[in-house]
Amino acid sequence: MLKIENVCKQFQGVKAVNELSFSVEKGQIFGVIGPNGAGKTTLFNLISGSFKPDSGAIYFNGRNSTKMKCYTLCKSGIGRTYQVVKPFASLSVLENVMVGAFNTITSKEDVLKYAMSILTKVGLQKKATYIGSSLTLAEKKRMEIARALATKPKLLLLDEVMAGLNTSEVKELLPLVLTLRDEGMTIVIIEHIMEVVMTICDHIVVINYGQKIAEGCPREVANHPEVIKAYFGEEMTIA
Amino acid sequence: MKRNLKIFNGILFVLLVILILSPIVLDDQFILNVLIQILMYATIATAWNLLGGYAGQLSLGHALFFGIGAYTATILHINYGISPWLGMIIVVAVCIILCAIIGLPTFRLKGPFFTLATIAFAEVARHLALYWRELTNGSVGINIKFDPSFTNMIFQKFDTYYLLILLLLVVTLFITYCIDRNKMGYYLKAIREDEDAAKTLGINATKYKMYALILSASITGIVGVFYAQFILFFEPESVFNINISAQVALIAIVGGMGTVFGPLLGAFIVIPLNELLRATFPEIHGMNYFIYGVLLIVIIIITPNGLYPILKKLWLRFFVKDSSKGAGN
Repeated sequence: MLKIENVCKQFQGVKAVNELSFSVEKGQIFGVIGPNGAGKTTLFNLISGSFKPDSGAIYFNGRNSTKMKCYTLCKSGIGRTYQVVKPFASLSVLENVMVGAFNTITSKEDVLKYAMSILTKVGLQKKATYIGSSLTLAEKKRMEIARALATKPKLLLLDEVMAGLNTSEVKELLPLVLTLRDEGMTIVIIEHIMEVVMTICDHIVVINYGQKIAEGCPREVANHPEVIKAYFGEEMTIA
Repeated sequence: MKRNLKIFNGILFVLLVILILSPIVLDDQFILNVLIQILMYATIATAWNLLGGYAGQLSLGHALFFGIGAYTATILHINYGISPWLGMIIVVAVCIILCAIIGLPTFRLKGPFFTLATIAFAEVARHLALYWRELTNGSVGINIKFDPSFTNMIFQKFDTYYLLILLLLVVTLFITYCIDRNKMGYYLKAIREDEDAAKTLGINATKYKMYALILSASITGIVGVFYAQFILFFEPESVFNINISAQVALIAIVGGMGTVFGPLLGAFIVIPLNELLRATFPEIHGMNYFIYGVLLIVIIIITPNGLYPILKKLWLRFFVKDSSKGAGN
């Protein structure tokens, strides 16, 4: 579905993503974890076409998508949300989602219907007429997901959709992600909340300083010495 | 309830038509002249609003397209005998080329570059018109011979001009209305609110901004053609002046950016206000500008989104009692 090959991205001397390779299978929930500043969001920007890699290649659905533009990638089936939410503040929630739905649907009535069905799916149907900026953070994150879903993506990139939410809000959002996977969508998720990552992910890649330090199923990753080192530091030995 | 509303709207529409046609029946040349000016500015401001209000791309150089319209059509008319009606098409073509030169590099950038480019281009055009004397007659200006005929787009009476600019305004409003209700309107608003998010939702932002710019510029250019044939004399300062660009932006801002009818309302407030103040303080030089400025500041402080949204809210509150419709907004 998605294949990253030796991708590098440098920002004035800082190697945000360094020789990174992995591949995501269709229908997976694929977790990307790592400490702050590890290059996770940069990786998303590379996959979604917001940034171009300095070297390496990205393949989406078997096609080389390295040089493709953001909006063409969206048309070919990549949807994403932002870690720092970007609602269209003065538009209503429904209109926000409609903007996404116009990606594949032309008739306005169909767009309205489809946007409404997406809102129902993410549980925002009651807020449809509210202005984007008036929502709570949890609702804004749902709206971002709804907007991305409205473009009918095959691959959905979720950038810390659980961050900043309280436990009950997280518990409400988790089933949605699982439903999407069951419907055949492939999901790549960046997440800090370990409980979430460990329970829903089929496969995890851990990155630190832009490099892959571990990969595998949740249990393998959790016990990987490099991962423990990255998160908790090295064990001290007293001579 | 709904039927009452329909009858009410019907009566309103008839009243509107009577109001629109009354200046012609009354045949007051002064009123017609002022109305033509207002409608002209309303049309340009509505066109400006497509770009500035919907797509969020602030232009402070719409005088460029206005002046290009006036000069291109008139030069073609006087020197080559091409009818201004045909000239309009050439004006649109010239405007598209200018849009490409301004838009293609600046729409890729974030920040104030587009706005700066519009100011710069309008100023360069003004200077070109001043110093390229062989073509433009420099600061002496261009006089169009009063030779009324349909092909010359010059008419005996003001009411023909009035109807012409009214038609242009209605067409422009109709275009805006259609855009507002459809995909393009949603896309432009999305670009205005957050361009990065818009791009990841499959929107080719540069393309849509370009569409908005071309539409906006072409309409402004056509109004420029109209202006030249109406006023019959113009010079660089009267068509390329930065005041025109500022005035147009102001009208849209006061009326309500990103609304279909905001700029129309703005024109009916700003232009008469300007004229009224000029007439009220003839002896104290600059007093009219002072009061004008203060009033505009007050309007913008009280209604940062423009007057139209507030009027609409009041309208809904007093005339449409079905309050459940507006809930949540």
